[in-house]
Amino acid sequence: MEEPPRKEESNAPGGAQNPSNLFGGVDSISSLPDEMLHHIFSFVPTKVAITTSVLSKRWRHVWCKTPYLSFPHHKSSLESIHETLASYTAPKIMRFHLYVDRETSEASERSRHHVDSLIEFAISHNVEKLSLVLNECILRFSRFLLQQFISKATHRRFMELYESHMHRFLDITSELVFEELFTR
Amino acid sequence: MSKKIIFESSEGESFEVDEAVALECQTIKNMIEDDCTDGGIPLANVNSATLTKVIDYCKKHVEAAAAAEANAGDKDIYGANKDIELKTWDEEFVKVDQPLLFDLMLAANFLIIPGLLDLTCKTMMRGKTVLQIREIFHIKKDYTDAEEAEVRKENAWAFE
Repeated sequence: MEEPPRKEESNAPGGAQNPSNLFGGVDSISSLPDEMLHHIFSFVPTKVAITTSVLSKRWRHVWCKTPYLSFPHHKSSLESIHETLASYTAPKIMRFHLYVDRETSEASERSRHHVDSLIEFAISHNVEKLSLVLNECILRFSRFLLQQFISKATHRRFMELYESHMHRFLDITSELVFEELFTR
Repeated sequence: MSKKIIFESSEGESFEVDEAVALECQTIKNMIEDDCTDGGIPLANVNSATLTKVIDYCKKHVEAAAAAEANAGDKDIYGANKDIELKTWDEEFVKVDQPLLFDLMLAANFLIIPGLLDLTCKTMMRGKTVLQIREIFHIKKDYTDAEEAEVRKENAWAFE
């Protein structure tokens, strides 16, 4: 039911101490403004941010407005992610990261459509920074959508594209650059 | 000799730092530019323990920036040795108990130290389960069991 815990060193924060003595028993994190909680969420996968919705009613919808969405190395279906995003209410996405593993990308046409609609979702929320890990198969499929995005992109927006294990960082200024990347 | 700035913690303790170190805080930088730092800067919402750590952080980052500048022509092929050293230092720096980490985050937010704010926010929930977060931060569950089950069901994939 919770996020699989990452291996933590024993001297790391929250490790060896007795939690009941901390903060004098007062819940101070819940009274932080949403912006601060979103900043904290910006460093964890969206999946983890979503799990905080069970903490209390205060936390129920905090993740829905976070401007940072990140779906890295997930094993969950793209369809579930898409369904979940129906509860997303932020008007603008600052950063959208999606990693599609090889198995998914080689799979059905349906998953390709899901990737496409996730990218569409990001674009429709005025995404500032789009970061995608797609293999060529998906890239080919989503090509027109991405081209559309790039052609409308202002100089402030940029896109990171990773292909296979090769890291590529591009400040896209024209469709040409993308074409080059694509046909490489 | 460089100009000194005096901070005063919530306990009224004074901390003297080089102006260059104080300039790491955007809030203080604005005050210095507006020339209103004479007689010290009272920080009513930052306690001494937190302020000591904040100053350590700023000092280290000023030194690291100066060293990086001095060795600018002397980088290895990755150009990243110093960065790794500073990252390791940062990692060690945030190995503190959760309340101090929390106070550091608030101080970084108030003083506007973007690097420290990112560092503390990044560490805040890292490696913790939702149950641990609830326990550490004393978050009171105000859902009924049925309501909680409903919330979990809504995005079941996230809880798998």
